[in-house]
Amino acid sequence: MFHYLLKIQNKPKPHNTMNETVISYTLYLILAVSMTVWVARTLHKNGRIFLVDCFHGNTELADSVNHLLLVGFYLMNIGFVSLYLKTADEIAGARGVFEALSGKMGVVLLVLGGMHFFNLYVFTKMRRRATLAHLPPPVPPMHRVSKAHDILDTL
Amino acid sequence: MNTLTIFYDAHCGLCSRFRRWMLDQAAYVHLDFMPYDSEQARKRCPDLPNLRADQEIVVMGDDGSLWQGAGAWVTCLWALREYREWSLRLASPGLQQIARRVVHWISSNRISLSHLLRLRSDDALRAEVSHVSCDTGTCAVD
Repeated sequence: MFHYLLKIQNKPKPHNTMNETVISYTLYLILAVSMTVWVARTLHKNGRIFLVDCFHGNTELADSVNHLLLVGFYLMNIGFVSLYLKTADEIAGARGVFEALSGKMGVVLLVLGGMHFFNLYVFTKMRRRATLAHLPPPVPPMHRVSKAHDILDTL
Repeated sequence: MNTLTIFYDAHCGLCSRFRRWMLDQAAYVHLDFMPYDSEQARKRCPDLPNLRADQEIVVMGDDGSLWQGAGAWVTCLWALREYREWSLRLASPGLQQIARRVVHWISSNRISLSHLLRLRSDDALRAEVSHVSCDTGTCAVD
């Protein structure tokens, strides 16, 4: 009986490491998803004015595109966050939790930053295309026809 | 500006090919092509004979602005939807100098370049079409 009790006491606790892994996963998901939501909301709020300008003040179209971009952003980021969740290393102790978490979060933040700049690039590209349509010829004319009214008559 | 008139060389295959290419592109303004030596061109732009349009391409806006050579090429690109960004790049002073040289070389060798590339001019095509005879009920090129 005594031997049996000793056996139980000396048995390594399998739940301990699992708990730390689960804690890491939980903290990772909370942090990563809340960061994604924060970046998405910032983009949604501050990107609107860019889009309104791109669509010549058509606010309805701008809001629609803004919303679609937001959905795409959420899908891509949350998809990446969930794919990147699993860790192969054994997590032991509080130190292990922090190390695993900072490594994961670092990559997620870099990906979020990359996505953010990509979004900005798309916005400026769209805005540039919209402003191009109203630009005058880039090279000033070399001559000017003396009798401009006659020319307009022949058009 | 709503209309851009391009006084091109209808005897040159390269220029005629360029005209067809430009008309295939989506443009911001209406493009009007006229052979530089036609009566119609002289009527629209009386200053044309003084500009030596036979040496370098001349482009005119509907406000009477005239461009020639590299400036005319850049203005042609500016008129096209897909190439407006390129025209802004080419308009920088450094690139304009290179463009001026390239355009001048192309303009002075345009006939030999057309022969080399086997491009037929609008005039040659027109001459061929005018030889079509339809007397027998079916049309044939002589």
